[in-house]
Amino acid sequence: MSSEGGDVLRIPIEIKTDDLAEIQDLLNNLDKAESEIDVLKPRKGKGSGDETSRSAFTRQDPFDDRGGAMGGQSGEALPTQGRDKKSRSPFQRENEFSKMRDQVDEMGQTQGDVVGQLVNLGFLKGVSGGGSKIMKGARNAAPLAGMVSGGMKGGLMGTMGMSGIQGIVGKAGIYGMIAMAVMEILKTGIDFMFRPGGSMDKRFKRDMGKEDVKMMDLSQKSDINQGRRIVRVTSSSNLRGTDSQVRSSLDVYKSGQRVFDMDGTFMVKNTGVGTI
Amino acid sequence: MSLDLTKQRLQSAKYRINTYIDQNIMNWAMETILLPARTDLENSINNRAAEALRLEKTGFMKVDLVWDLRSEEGAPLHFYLEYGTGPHIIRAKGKEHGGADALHWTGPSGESRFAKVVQHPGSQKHVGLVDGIKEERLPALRERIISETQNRMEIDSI
Repeated sequence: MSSEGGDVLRIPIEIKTDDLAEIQDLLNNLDKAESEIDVLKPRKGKGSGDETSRSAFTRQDPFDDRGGAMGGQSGEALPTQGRDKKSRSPFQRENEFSKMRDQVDEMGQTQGDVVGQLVNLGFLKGVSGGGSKIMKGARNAAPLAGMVSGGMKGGLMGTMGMSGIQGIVGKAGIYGMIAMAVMEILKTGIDFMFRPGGSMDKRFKRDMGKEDVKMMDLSQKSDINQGRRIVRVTSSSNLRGTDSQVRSSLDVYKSGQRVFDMDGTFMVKNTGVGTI
Repeated sequence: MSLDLTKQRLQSAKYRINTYIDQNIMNWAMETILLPARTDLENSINNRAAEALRLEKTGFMKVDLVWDLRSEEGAPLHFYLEYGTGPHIIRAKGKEHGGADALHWTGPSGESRFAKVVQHPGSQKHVGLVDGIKEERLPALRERIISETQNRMEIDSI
């Protein structure tokens, strides 16, 4: 409080955010949030990443194992399974559907093995017409084929004779081999399409492009929708990749330039009139 | 990518907070300091003393409360009222200087008194404007700034 200028009473009022504890706390929280963003950001290359982070980006394990925001947690004191969203319990109850799915998978695996055995059988019988040495070797290689041929020897050999049985089985084996080969090809093709990451893979797949849109602030969306903030694309050659490619402010951001200025205003260089 | 945008927003948050305070400090100071102080001066002295009080923006997040109350001759009455005076002599101006030949005032019992010269014993601090601003109005301004800034940050999603 002083009188500067000599003849007027002048009371200076100066506000410093450092002196305002609540504002300073707010700024400290902002700094903390900023440092946490650095932790959350995905890292390039093969690194161990941040083991303590809950971020899905740093997770090293397959994503369908346990992904999402709870990924990376471990320890007996913490829930070892994801939170059950339908209940207030922090622990997820055992999922009967998962158990049933596992059983179906096991059955499918078993059936697949049987189909493979049958294919082997048909193939061996088809080949048996051409050479007994191959037949003998194949008996040792395919347990099911050995079992069938052994059964034939013991049951039908007395009435029809060994050579007659082999002839019938051999002819049937050729057609069986062809049919089984077709089935095997189809099975392989289907397995290929349904493999993890294949074209028919119906499992949960993350689309970061869509997620990015969802992560946009609602106020920013409303600003754009109501016209308070306009995202322009430009025909300027500075921002245009090729003649047929019109680039937007997103490309400016990707090129490493600032999108917001220090005042928080949406700022893009050289935005001109273009199609929105 | 959204994390980068959020980081940019956070990095500029302090600057935006300061800018917001600077842009609005005049309004807040007027509502929390100037108008209440003018009311006090009007009640304790007169309307002219209140009108002589004003705010000046002097810098970034800086304002000055200025009181410039003068007599017809240009004497700084604001100093006399604020800090008081020492003993001094008061003389009548005289008609030749555009004043009266005698001083007039009302005594303690209501009677009129006249004199050409009086020996004034001095006045004590009268208004206490500086102390009042320091003790009452500045805390109010700080609270106003905090609440307004927090509201702004919530609306602006920081």
